[in-house]
Amino acid sequence: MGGLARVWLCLAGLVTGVCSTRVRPGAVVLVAAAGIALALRRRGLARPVGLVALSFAAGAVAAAVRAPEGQPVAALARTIPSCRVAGRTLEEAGGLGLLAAVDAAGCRGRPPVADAGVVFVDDLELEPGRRFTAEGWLIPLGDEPFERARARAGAGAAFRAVTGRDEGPLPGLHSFAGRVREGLAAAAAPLGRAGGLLRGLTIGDTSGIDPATEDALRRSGLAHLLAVSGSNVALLLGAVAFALRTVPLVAKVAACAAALVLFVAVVGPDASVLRAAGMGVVALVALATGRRPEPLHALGLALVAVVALRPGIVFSTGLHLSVAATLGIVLWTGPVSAHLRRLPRAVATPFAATVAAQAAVTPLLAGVFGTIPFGGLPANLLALPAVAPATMLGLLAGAVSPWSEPAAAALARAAAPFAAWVLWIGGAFGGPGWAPPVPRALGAWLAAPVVVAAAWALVHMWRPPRKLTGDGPLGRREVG
Amino acid sequence: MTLYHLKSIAVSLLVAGVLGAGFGVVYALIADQTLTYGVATGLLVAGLFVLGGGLLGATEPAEGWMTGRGTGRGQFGRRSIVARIATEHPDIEDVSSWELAVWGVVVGGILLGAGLVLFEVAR
Repeated sequence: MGGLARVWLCLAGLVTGVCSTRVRPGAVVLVAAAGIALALRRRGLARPVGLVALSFAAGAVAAAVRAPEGQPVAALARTIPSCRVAGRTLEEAGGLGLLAAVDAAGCRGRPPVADAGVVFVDDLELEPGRRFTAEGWLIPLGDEPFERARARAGAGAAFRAVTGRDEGPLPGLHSFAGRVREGLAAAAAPLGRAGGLLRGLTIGDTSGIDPATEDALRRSGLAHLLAVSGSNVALLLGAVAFALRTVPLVAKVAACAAALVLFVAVVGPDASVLRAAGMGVVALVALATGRRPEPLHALGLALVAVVALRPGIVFSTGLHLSVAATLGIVLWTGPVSAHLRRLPRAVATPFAATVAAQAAVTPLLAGVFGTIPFGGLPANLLALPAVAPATMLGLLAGAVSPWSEPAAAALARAAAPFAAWVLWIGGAFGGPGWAPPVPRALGAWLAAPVVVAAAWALVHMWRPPRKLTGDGPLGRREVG
Repeated sequence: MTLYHLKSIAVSLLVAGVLGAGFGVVYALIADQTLTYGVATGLLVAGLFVLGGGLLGATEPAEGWMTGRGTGRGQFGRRSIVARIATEHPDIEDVSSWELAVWGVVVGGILLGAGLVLFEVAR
């Protein structure tokens, strides 16, 4: 069995284990023991089955360890007490709210609790990476879809703040990341809507985008640009590697890794960010060991690491869309661009990648959101040339902002025309007629041909190479 | 004629300035900005591109960037656009890294300065 198959089997077992919340601990131990026994055998299907069983047990254990019910804050919240808490903000978890760790909680009628767990903080305007104190109500998470999603994100309860105080940034990396975020926000502020989009394109910060613009971008199929993903990580690592092209490989890889860590600290550990960062780490390891990074390997390994560390992420729609788009690009860009030989390579490859990503995410968009952005393909193709310069200039503006505000402002101004172009395209293809509602069941029907096409591409990708033999007038000729 | 000859600088400024201003006018139209603000932004973008292009050209290795991809297309790999134009222009002779860097800093700097001055005018 090849390494790629092992990675994806491992992922399948891990995800199944995470999703199997009702499996008893004894059963998990049995499955793990059977997995070890099978993995040690060298016959037939014993090893793959053993690997899946072991991964399943690991997923179940990871999910149990990270279960929000085990947090002290979940027990405290049952009576909806009034509490005074001190903590630190962790991340903006997409549309779910601000996730914060509670370092100390003093609730009425209860003894004080240290390291009480993780909560979603409502009604308190704070950036990630800040210390805070607040008074308010601890609310348990119920069975509503929104609250279940909050629990899967790792929270044990919600905290509705009545009063709150910002106690300053966390020390070290978080402090620097906060300065970068604030610097980029200050540089982009005078640019209006383009500035809001620039923050979204660069670090996935959508707080500067008005709801109408966000709706237009969603209907035009451009909303994915607001989520930090592989293209941002690729641009970042490419720029750092290029800037340090003359230094030794070890130093270059170390600098890229440092830039990646800082970038994740700035943008927050969102699902698509972790997926892209994981792939970036795999690529860096491959670079350091002199190997060529294989995208499917990198994606599988990144997902294994991310799911093992944050099991709740398997339910994230953002991760599903990110993985689908990446798989589409990896599997279909080659075959599609092969049919576009008449076009220049610089046009054919981005075109093929856009077609591939759109085709892969369309069933998910139909099934989850009940809509298909019919203008998505032309809108993405037209917006594509402006995205890279806008993101690159935005990254530069953020990077220089802690040291020079005027330089950051100038770079943000230079990025504004590119962001304005994306906004203009979003407006042109973002009318209600471009994304009509469709039955959600359509997603399942559309998924069937997409899965078949993916399997076809996978089979063709791994077709054994043709044997070369004999010498002809043009060199060696192919047979078989 | 060398790259930092006055005529080269003037022609470069004119071409980059016109392209930048045109870009800025389109930006002003699609983003509903004033014409002055749009042209200022266009000159800023042009200045950054010229500065970046000049410095990239100055620091590229003799065989060009991305060597390997450009094999079979001539004696160079994929060279940066500024270095390629400067090398292949019939009136410009003996292009060195220093000349490319000076050209990028002078032309890019003037465009950046003009853009920043226009921003003050537009305010």
